[in-house]
Amino acid sequence: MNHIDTRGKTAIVGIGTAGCGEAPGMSELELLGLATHAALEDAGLKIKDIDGLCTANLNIAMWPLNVSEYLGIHPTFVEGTNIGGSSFIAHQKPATLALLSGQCNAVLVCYGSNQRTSKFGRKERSIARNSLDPSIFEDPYHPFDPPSSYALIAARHMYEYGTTRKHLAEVALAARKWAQLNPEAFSRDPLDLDTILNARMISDPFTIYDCCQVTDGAGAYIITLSDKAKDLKKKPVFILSNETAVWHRSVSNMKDLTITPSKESGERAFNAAKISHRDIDVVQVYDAFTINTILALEDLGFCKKGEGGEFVNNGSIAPGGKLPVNTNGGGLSCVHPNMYGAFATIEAVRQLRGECSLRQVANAKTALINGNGGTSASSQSTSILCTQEIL
Amino acid sequence: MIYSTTTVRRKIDSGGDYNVCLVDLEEGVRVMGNVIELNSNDVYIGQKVDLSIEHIDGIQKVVFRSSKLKK
Repeated sequence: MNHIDTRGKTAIVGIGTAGCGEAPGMSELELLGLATHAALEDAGLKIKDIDGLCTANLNIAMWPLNVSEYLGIHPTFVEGTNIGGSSFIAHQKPATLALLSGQCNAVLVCYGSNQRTSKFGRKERSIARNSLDPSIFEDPYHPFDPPSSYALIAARHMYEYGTTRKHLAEVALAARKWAQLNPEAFSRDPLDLDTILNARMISDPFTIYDCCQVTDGAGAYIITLSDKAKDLKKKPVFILSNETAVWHRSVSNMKDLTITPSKESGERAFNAAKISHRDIDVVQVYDAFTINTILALEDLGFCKKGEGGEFVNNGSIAPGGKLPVNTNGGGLSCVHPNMYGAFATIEAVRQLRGECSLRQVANAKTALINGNGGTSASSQSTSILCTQEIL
Repeated sequence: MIYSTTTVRRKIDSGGDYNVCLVDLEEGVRVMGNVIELNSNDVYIGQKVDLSIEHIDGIQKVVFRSSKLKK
């Protein structure tokens, strides 16, 4: 396959969040609008400068229309692909190609959800989605999804590799320790391994602490060509690569429950970025469930398959550990408004700009972000970002 | 053979806990189903189960029973 070389040719120039946690009374468009406003301010751009739009919504099929109308923009590039929470990472390559082709000059990637406080909330939406998009070979058996599908994945990983519930709990605890350093994180209360291990089971082997939070929140960021980025307000964060892999939809069609599409997206992303794992300073992975972090670290090549449990053990990915992972607190403790990809990206940008105060990773120059999508790690999208020095 | 298994926790008054599993059939396909007539906590990966298709809740469903319980 011949690729256009996109390495470092585009950059993230503005980021914004809104309503992370609880935002009662706010619509999804209003939240998205506030995050967009913050991203524009951050970049020093105006809404009239935006001529590219990447967005998706879990419940609304023609969401780019809703967003274009609400923001009052007439984009010449629209990307509405929805492959789950990884979408807002997977949007980066199409956006990059559109910018390089001259189709547009500034792309807004944006998302907003009020799933926590809306009267038509997560439960009602799940029922509606199951009616509109049934999984005919799974629904009759009532998996409590997404937890049950990821629980099946975790159970198989434990069986094959000796991964333990304590390993899973280490992921939850590390996320909480990072969250305690992040004023924007929703769950910052003290937590310990015993509390996690003895908590109420949801779908074995997961307790409530193995499952991401249900929050409101919106995230937005802006991508331009790197040449243009240098003239804007903030230090640009360059996109070295973005690669996406899509393998299946339902867990019963996942060939090997212990291997995710990150193996493919990660390999492609590292090859395109032309850097190695040793060069990565900070990692943001979509931790929908604790097993996701372990799977991602294995499939992306930070450790061997089956060694993810030991890799995260004893605080190794927590503050002060050997590899900083999910420094905002992740979906487990920071924010998880249904689809998380934008927030992993935004935290990576904040780290590479050096804006993270207590949780700042010293001299962070490279970041890997990995999105997870669907109810069984169905799609994965990996990006490698960097500062000017690495280009 | 059970490929993976989970116990979905549910309140007693909503029907109690139940099993959801993935089973690799000898024919070479993998299907989701429920193991019945056995405490879900006693279902384990590698366990041999027998498949039957039964009319439950108005639809034809795949159910599994432990091979040891075979009548």
